Amino acid sequence: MAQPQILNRLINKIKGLTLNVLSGTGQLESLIKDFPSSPFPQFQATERPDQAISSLIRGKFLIILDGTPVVLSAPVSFFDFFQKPDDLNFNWLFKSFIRLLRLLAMGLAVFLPALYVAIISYHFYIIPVNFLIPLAESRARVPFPPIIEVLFLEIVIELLREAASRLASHLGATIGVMAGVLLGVAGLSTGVISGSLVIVSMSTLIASLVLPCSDLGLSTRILKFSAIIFAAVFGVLGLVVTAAVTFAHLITLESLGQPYFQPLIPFKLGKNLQKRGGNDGKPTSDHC
Amino acid sequence: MKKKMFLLIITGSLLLLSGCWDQILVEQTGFPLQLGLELSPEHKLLITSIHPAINGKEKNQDEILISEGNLLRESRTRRETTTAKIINGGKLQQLLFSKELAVSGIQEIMEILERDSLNPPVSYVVVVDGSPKELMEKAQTFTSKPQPSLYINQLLVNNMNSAHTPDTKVYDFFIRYFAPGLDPITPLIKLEADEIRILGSALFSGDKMAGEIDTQQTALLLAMMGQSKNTELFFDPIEPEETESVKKGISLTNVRSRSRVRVKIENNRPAIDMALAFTASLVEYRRDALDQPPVQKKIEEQLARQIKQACLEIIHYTQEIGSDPIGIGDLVRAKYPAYWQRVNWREAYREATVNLQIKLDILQYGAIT
Amino acid sequence: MENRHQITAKQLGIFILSSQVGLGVIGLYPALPKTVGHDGWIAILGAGVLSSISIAIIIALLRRYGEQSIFEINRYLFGNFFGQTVNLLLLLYLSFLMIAAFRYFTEFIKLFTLETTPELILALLIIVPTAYLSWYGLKPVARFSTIIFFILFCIVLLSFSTISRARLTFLLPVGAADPTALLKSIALAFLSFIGLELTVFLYPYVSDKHNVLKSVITANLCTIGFTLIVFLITTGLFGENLLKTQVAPLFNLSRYCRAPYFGRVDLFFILLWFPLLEGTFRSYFFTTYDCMRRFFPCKNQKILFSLYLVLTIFFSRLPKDFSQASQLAQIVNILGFAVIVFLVLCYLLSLINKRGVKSR
Repeated sequence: MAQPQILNRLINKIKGLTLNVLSGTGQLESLIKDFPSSPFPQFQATERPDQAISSLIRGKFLIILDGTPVVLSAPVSFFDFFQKPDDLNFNWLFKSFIRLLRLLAMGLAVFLPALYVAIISYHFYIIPVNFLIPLAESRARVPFPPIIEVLFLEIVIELLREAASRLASHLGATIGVMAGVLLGVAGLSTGVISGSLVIVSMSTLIASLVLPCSDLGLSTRILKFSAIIFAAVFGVLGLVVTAAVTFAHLITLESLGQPYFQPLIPFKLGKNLQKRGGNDGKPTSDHC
Repeated sequence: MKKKMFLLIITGSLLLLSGCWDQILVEQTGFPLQLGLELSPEHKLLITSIHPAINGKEKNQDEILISEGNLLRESRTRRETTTAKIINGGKLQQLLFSKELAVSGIQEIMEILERDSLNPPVSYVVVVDGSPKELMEKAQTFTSKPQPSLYINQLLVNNMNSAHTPDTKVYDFFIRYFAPGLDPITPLIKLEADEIRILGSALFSGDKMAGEIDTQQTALLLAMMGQSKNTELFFDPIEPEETESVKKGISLTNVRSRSRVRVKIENNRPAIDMALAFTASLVEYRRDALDQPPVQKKIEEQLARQIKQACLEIIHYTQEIGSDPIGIGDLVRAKYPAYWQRVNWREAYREATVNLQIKLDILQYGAIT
Repeated sequence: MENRHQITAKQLGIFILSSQVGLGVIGLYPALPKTVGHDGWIAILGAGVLSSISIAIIIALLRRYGEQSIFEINRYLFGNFFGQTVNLLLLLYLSFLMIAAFRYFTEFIKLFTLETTPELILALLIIVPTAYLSWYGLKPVARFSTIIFFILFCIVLLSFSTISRARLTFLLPVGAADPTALLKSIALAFLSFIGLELTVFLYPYVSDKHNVLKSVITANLCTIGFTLIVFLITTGLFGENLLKTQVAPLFNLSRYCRAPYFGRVDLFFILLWFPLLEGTFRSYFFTTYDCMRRFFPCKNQKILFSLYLVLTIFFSRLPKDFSQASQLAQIVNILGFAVIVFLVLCYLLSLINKRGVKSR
């Protein structure tokens, strides 16, 4: 069920490399990507055997590098990053629900702070009347424009995440909670951040933690910041343009010559309605 | 790669430094929820706007701004000279016109709300019996009511939902104004001692106010217009009751209706043929053999007669004042274009004959068995 | 990425659909009530039938020559010199339409969202997704066009949500307009079907050529359906007299809706408008670029593309203001009609001048 021409392509790519040092699979990935400057992962990296096995069964190839625990699988599609092998243990209803939830989380993680900036600084009339008064009151205490406020809080949160991943797990959790609570309360009481922003930023943080794939999490964080900047300058139009460019990029991307946004665009009904287990063995490749 | 990053940072910072041309920050904006318009003694527009005061000295207060001018925008600029906020009408909920102004025509004044894409054409058009300025100022002193701007908004929205008053947005007004043979109606409110009261609706002829009807009549008129909503109606007792009890009359709830309007031209005069079918539940009435089918039938017939009487009164009233909210003229135009071309509709409408059929179906008689 | 221009017939259909709808939505609805009032739907139907017939003829023309695009066909039909001249005129037509669509697009975005932002910066911003896609070839452009279905679905949903307030009587009496105005309005309504002529430029890229007729006709039918629904609903809701005063009735439809709780929903529709209007521009932008590349072979694609981008923005700034830009739309209408008539004539000519015709 795996296609030899894709394998040849992969082998040719790896053969074409001339390397002095290769320290990890991530480095290899960036060397053999079709689109080297794209923020989206084009290979799926995993340490889990069950993930690797399920990739193999679905007709993908694995790149195993001696001496590293991480295995790369390809070709991948965008939606592969929203699946985990344990999803198969669930009923189809829960499985679809969880996957939709993850897609929603990705959308929120990228666009929620930008939407907040756009609405607060350009489109206040979209806010319901009864909510407008408390929102304006919470904003009135903040001396900075929304963009500064949002960038400040988002950068602090990114720092916190980075710090928490460095520390030992029990310490990391404690410090994370303490820093979050203290910063939130102090920021609110001194009027550096508004209460509504705390809700937005925390929802974004939670949403970005839902994503199962850490590579995709990194790209959402980059996209989030660019969306915030465009939203601050052009309002909701900037948001739409960012979304359109991201979408255009996802459609243009290919992983080993396979469309990245596969079952949706180009649309394949059969692939969207996969049977439980989803290993019917049909090849995923054709160019359109 | 470095070049790309450099370019990205340069464009990003340039945009941020120079950008934000259209920015309207929430906290720096005064968002009027109501706009009152009336004629000043110098025969200019006297405009009162009311917006929630953000971080004012006292909680739940509104800021009232008053200015005079010939144009809406002109007066907005004048109002801005007295306040710390930038006035933006993006969240306008109601436009309150004084009756005096409404009688002289209001369509031109509202035009900017339809044109400017930032202003909401979803705001409601309301006529105030009296002065909107006085109403807004007085509303600040009500102690038992919520913040005035929210109070007026909520009052109107709730009464629109129960068909006591029509829900006429700026666009609805414009649609009805521009359509030949169709006239606008709007809510009518009045300031009373310690509250604001919904009086019913104001009937327009073109864009000039021509008459008014009360809340129950509004509900019936809306039913005839085919815009029925779930409403309540009250009627006189069916036959002169002998009891000296205070409790008199009948109350219907969950009233819904379907209407069918046809027109014919008979003897060079339009003949309106209207059929209304109501369904309702009876909630309050003397406990009197209500479970007997003959009694029920009698109640239905009697009530239908009363509704018919009320409806006929409304139609005759609209004919008298020359307002056509039901859109009979529109029907005539669609069906008899030649006749429509020939006559002046306002005149022809006065002479129209009406044939009204009312059917009332009471689905529930309370919980009486 | 191999074969980055290869598309299927279905994708060509979607490409044509998205190029047709955008222009029609902004240009057609205000113009139609001014000439025929509430009878505009007859004009739309008439133009729809006419456009479907011309699609059939145009594709018959292409089939006679096998794998060729209109540029090669013209050289067979008119000889080398005259053929090239005609080709140059076609290229000018494409560029003109592309620039007009872009200017119109910018003006609308400016009018409805950002009023004081400098137009040049706005133009730079909104060209980005299009330029990105076009650089990567026809395949991504066609794939991106798929979102047109989502947008059409949302707009139809919006239309039906206001149907309870629409009055059927606003559409009556049928046929009140006089026949000459009706005939004139059919030509006017043709504006919403302009975009079908792109088939002749992109035909060589389609992999399954026997399906082209079917999918382009289907796309055209979708356009007819959508245009009809929107026209009927806006006329039924606003009435012809109010419609005559409006610039963009479809946008006003979203301003008319009062959503519970939120009040105003027009912001959500700005989100949809962007890709909808961009659709027309995107299709023409790519086609023009592609034709230019074939016409003026240049080694360095990057330079050609950047030059093309700069020129597009430069020329789109030439009209002075919105009213001049909207006059462009009328010229577009006439030109588009002329080009389609020209293509039909080409077919007739190819029956006489059989040079280059593939025998079955």
